[in-house]
Parts: sequence; structure tokens; C-alpha cells
Amino acid sequence: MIRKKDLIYALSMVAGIIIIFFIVYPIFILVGTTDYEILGETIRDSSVMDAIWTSLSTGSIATLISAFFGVPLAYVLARFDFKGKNIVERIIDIPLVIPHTVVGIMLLTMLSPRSSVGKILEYIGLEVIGTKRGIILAMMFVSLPLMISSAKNAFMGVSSKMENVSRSLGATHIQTIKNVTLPNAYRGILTGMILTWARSISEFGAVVILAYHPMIAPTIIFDRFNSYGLKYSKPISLILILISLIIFIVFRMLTMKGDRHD
Amino acid sequence: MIKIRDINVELSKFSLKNINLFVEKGEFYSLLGPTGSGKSMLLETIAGLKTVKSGNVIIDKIDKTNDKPENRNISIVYQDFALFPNMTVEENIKYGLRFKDKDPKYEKKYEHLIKIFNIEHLTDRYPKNLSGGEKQRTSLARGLVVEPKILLLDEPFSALDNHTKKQIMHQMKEIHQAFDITILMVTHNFSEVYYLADKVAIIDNGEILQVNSIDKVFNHPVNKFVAQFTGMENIFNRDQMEINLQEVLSGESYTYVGIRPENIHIGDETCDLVLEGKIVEVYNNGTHLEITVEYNRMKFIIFTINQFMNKGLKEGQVIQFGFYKKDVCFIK
Repeated sequence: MIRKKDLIYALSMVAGIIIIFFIVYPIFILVGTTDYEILGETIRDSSVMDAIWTSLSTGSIATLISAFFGVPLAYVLARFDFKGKNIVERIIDIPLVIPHTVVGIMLLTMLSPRSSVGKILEYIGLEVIGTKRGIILAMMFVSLPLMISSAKNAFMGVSSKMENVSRSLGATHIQTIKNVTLPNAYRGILTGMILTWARSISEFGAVVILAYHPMIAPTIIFDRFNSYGLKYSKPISLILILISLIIFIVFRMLTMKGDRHD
Repeated sequence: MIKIRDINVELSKFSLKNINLFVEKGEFYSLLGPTGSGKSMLLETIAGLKTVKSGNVIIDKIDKTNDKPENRNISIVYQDFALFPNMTVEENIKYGLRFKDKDPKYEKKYEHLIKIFNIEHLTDRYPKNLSGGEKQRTSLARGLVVEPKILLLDEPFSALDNHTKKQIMHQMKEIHQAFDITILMVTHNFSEVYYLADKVAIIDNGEILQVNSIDKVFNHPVNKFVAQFTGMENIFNRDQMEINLQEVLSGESYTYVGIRPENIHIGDETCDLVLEGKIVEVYNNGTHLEITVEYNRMKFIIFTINQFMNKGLKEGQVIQFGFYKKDVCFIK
């Protein structure tokens, strides 16, 4: 039995090492093969910095809007049973299975001035295609399922009995959510926000169709790759990886805060 | 005090059907039923946590059927404690006071409760650092500090070890007497009911089957289910009983007869009916022996204290056993 367990352990370790290598090695290759002279030029290139800033800012806005709409929906899905709940949950998962270029085509069709939504937007003077709004919409479409499912799991991890006790002790539903539910679910929600943000800033397929300009980091990397080749696209990639990793680590540390409670 | 009138509650796969209950002020009332019988659902309905389809929940002569849980002044304590992990013991207990008027009496009550429950030394700890018993004491103190009219207990002792369970049951009994509070407890364990409750309602499949004092329900169950659920191990269909037994028990109208295992005596010739049977199984559970004796295809289960072990009761042995007619329960 012990030998069998050891074999399983060894096989798992081998699989793990392969996966870690598969993820980490390309990053090392990128770091090792980047031309640092060009990297210096890239850092000084305002169009590159603008694109990175556009990625980070639109990704952050998309995350905040996704959380604003997604967290309440996740709470409802975690706590209540209602007719059609299964259908709602399947609809929310749809963006995960649609190729992102198709998402771009769908959104472009929906928002074009010839469509009814496009006409309304045009009438109220809200331009979407080829703007940061379009980028944010595309990012939200592809990343919302991650926000909702993470928040839903976080709420499901907080026993509804705790909420019942809180209500019976005199707290209203809103006070209960504020005092009991959110403080015990926030790490799961924050994890969902990190995933949403990460998914947003890495989005390319949907964004490039809806808004090639203003450029986001993945678009400018693609643009440099097409125009100047691999050598000139690598430094931007490296900068984007470094910034993303720093932000990712900071957020991860935030989610780990509060371990003393449980 | 609590009057439940024709309550119907429907969930997707389960419903409470025409529940009627009356709990007097200051009573320790118990709802006894198997898992999935609807007893916790009824408790949550009284607390206002489930939507009522029809019927009324009346508390102190006021119809509270549509009141929100926070406006009922009813505390609920769960089997799994439901302590807030993000709060210390003190914060947990004082949680309900955030929604009360500032009154020094609550602080005194808090001090009193942590003393009674012996958790004074734990007030700075988080729930993850407490034992099961400490968690349940904290949970009870939290429910009591707000001075509720009614305390609802949902299987409060199920997650505790035997020693802790006895300690907390004893404390609950003291608190019930000292605080003069109405308590409604749901459980599937009839020994808890026997020790704590004044009155019991038996519930199964969303319906109340019998309501009465503990002794009445235990000694005069209305049907076979109640008899079995309250520990009546020996239940025999009249038609399957041996003619000799039928004669002794004649003059009564019944479908089944039931005899509690503790009311069957080994080697007592003064019994109204003495039988001779073969021991087919001896199960020693530490404090008592559970002996199965076969008599003319009928199997009797007998509980007897461990000292009988010295008499060498063993499987295959033929013994005399009997019971008094007064201990026989006739079930229609």
C-alpha cells in the first residue's frame, strides 16, 4: 500500500514538475533572450507606455464594473433557489466557450451604428467602437464568468446558518451581509477580482476587433511583432509580464491577510 | 406564548403540513424526529427564516407570521454553532447588542453568561481556537445575551462528545430555570428530550404525529413509528403473536403491542407473563447488555445492566424472562 502511495506521489511530482517547467521556462527564455538595449528604448517609447497604461487602466475598470454587477448576482445564485436558476448559470458560462475573436465579432455587430443598440448609443453620443469603452466591454464579456463563479463559491463557503443567526440577533439582511457575509467571503471575492483583472489585461482577440486603437499592450505587442519581428515585441512582453507579476503578488498577499481568523 | 396554527411551508422537495403547536411561556419544549423530518425547517419558520405558505405564527398573542427575523426577538442556536469566524468570542457574544439600545444591563448579562458558561478566559480567542464544547457555550451565550423571548435550539448537542454534552445539558437546565426563558429544541435523540424537556412533539415527514408530556408520549405512543422512534424496541403485530400472549393481553383493543427493552426482566418469576427463550445475541455496549432472546419466532430485546455479565449470560443459553402487563403498550 505504502509502495503504491509512493508511486502515485512520484508520478504526481513528475507531472507537477512538467507543468511548472511548461509555465516557467518560456518566461525565463523571454527574460534571457530579450535585447536589453531595445528594452531601454522601449521603456522610453511613449506609445508603448501608453498601451501598457491603457491595458492596466481598462483592465482595472472592467474588473470593478464586473465586481459591481457580478458580486450581487453571485450572492443571489449562492443563496436562493428560483425557477430558471440553472439556465442563468449556463448563460453566465457562455463567454468561457466562445472563441474570443467571435466575441469581438458579436460585440462589433451589436454595437455597430446599424444595430438598434448602436443607434441608441449614437443618439446619446456614446461612442464605443474604437474607444476605451469598447476595450472595457470586450474585457468584461470574457472575464465576467470568472468573477461570478469565484464570488459565488466564496458566498457558498459562508454558512447560511451564520446569516440566520445574525438576523435572529437583530441584524437586517443588509447589516448581515456587511457584518458577517462579506468579511468572511472577501478573500474569495478578491481572488475573483484578481482572476478577472488578469483575464482582462491578457485579452486580445475580442479587443483587437472592437478597438484596435487605442492600443492595449497585447495589441501593440502583436503590432510590433507584425511590423518589426520578434526582437521588438519581446521587450514590451517582458515589461507587461513584470508589471502583471508585481500587481498579482500584491493582490495575492492581500487575499492571504486575515488568516488568523480561520 | 408560541402558537403555531395550521402552518404550511413548501420547499422544492419538502413541505410542512398543517402544523399546530402550542408552547407555554417558560416551557422547555422539544421537537423529536428523524433526520429530514422537517423539525429544523419548523424551527426556522418560527424564527421567520422560512416563508410561510399558509397558517400563522403567533407569539405573545401577536401574529408574527410576516415579521422579519430581526423583529421577532427569537434567538437560534445551531448544531454546528454558526460562530462568526471573523470575530472573537467576545465580539460573537456581543454581536446582537449592536442592534439593541445601549443599556448597562446587557453588559451585566454578558459578564454573567461568560461566567455561567465558564468562557471568561476565552473572550479574546477566535472560534478556530475553541473546542466543540467551548464553541457551543459561546453560541448559547450569544443567543441568550440579547434576552430573547424564545430560544430555539437546533440539535445543540449533536456535535459534542458525551462528557461535554452532559455538562452543557446540565447548564442548559440551570439556565432554563434561572432565566425563565421559553425554549424550543429540536433533536433526534430521545435521551436529551427525557433529560431536558417538559413536553414533546413527534414529527415525521413534515407532520406532527403526537404531542404530549414526555411520559405520555414515551409510554403511550399513538402509532408504531412513534413507538419505535422513542425507543420501544419490542413491537409485535397482534396477528403474529403467540396465542398464549394474546390471551394474557386480551381485553384490549390494539394492532401492535410494544414493550420497552428495559421493562423485560430476566429470571423474575413474579412477572405477569414469564416466558422461556434462547439467547441469540449478546451485545455489550459498555454500560449495559443488549440481549436478543428468541421465543417462538418472536425476538425480544432486553436491556440489562452490566452486572449480569457475572451471571454468564451467553449466546445459545436458555433463560426465563418476563414482563408486567402494566408495562405493555397497546398501539392502534
